[in-house]
Amino acid sequence: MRVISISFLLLLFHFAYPQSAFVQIGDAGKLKAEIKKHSEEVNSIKSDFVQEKNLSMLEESVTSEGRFFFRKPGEIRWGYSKPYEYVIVVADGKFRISNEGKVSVFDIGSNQMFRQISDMIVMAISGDFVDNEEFDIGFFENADFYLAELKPHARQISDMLSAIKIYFDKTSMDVKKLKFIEPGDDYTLIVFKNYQKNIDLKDSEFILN
Amino acid sequence: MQLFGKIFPKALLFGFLLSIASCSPNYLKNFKLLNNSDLKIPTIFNQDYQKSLYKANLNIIGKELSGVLLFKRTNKSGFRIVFMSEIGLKYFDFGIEYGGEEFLARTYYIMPALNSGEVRNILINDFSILLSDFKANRNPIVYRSAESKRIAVEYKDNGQAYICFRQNGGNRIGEVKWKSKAGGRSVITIDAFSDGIPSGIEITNKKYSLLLKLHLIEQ
Repeated sequence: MRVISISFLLLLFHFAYPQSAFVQIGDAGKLKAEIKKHSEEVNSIKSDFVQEKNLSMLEESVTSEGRFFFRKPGEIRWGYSKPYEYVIVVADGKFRISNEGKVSVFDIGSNQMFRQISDMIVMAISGDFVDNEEFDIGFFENADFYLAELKPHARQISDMLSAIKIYFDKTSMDVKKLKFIEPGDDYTLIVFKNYQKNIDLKDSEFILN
Repeated sequence: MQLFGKIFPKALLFGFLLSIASCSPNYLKNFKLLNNSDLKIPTIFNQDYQKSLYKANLNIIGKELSGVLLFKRTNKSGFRIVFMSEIGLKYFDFGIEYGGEEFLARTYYIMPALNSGEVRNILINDFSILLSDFKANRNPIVYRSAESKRIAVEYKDNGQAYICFRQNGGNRIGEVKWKSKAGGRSVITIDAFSDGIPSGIEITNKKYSLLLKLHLIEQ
């Protein structure tokens, strides 16, 4: 009977204070400085990722996988390999997309939406957002992660995204997860795996012909 | 001025006749009415169909959107159609509910760039045909081509006339054509099926330069 009571209490405690629950950080000054320092120290990233698009009302998720490369100041290669082939390369002021082998090129400056998407990806991956005034930023933590929650001010972005959540590993300060939340609670979760930073990346990774 | 008075009515009449001719789709040229046929229209997706995911490319008036499109049955007579970019941003999210004389459509979300003119209505109408169980199809008229022996079934729904062409030698629909005043002509082409689910679908509407290509993602 006593064992059952203790188990029940433990269960109750688990639900009342789940391990993954995040609490707000009151004074985030130290964390901001740490994120900024880490962002400045990271010059390149190579990582695999798993993307899960969650459609909340449909109780449905669409999963895709791929690999991404990042090199300062703002070169990105974001490539999907499963269940379809699709690559986005941001370099030289151009947004290049390879969709099942067909390459399209867009000038980032000529398209505000492309520029915003490009800026958001660089900002989220590199952690370079601490001083960004286009968002309200809240900081949280649990046992494993620091969480930065960014809420956009601009109507053009807030129509598409209600918040961006960036999860940092507490030990390495690497970005481990990104969550793009849409109005209506659908979200896209990107989880990084085999994360490597400050490695030499070939120029060819950022070329798409 | 006198010459103008003679020519203008003729030109007007010619223009009128031309416009009638161009508005009348000749979908059933060389087809003859097949009397006493009790042929019904088969559903395009299997009756017990639940969901499928497609790689999708949508071209509208020179602009291209790519991503994935999900069809999902939400209940016995309802479906949701969600089209999103590869990186996860939604383009549109429609719901279609059958059951009555007419289908009911609901727009849960549509990006502003797509929410203009007849584009939304064309897409919803075409999806409603694609997913229809054709139960409202009470009086289908069956035709057969004298040359190719191809079977065509004409039926009326929502005040529109739709013509379904069956795949040669099969009991599956290979093509659906319809026309409305506002939206112009739409054609749905299905090139193949995989376990009762269309593996390649094309929806075209020339008036709006709309082309939606879907390729089934096997999961």
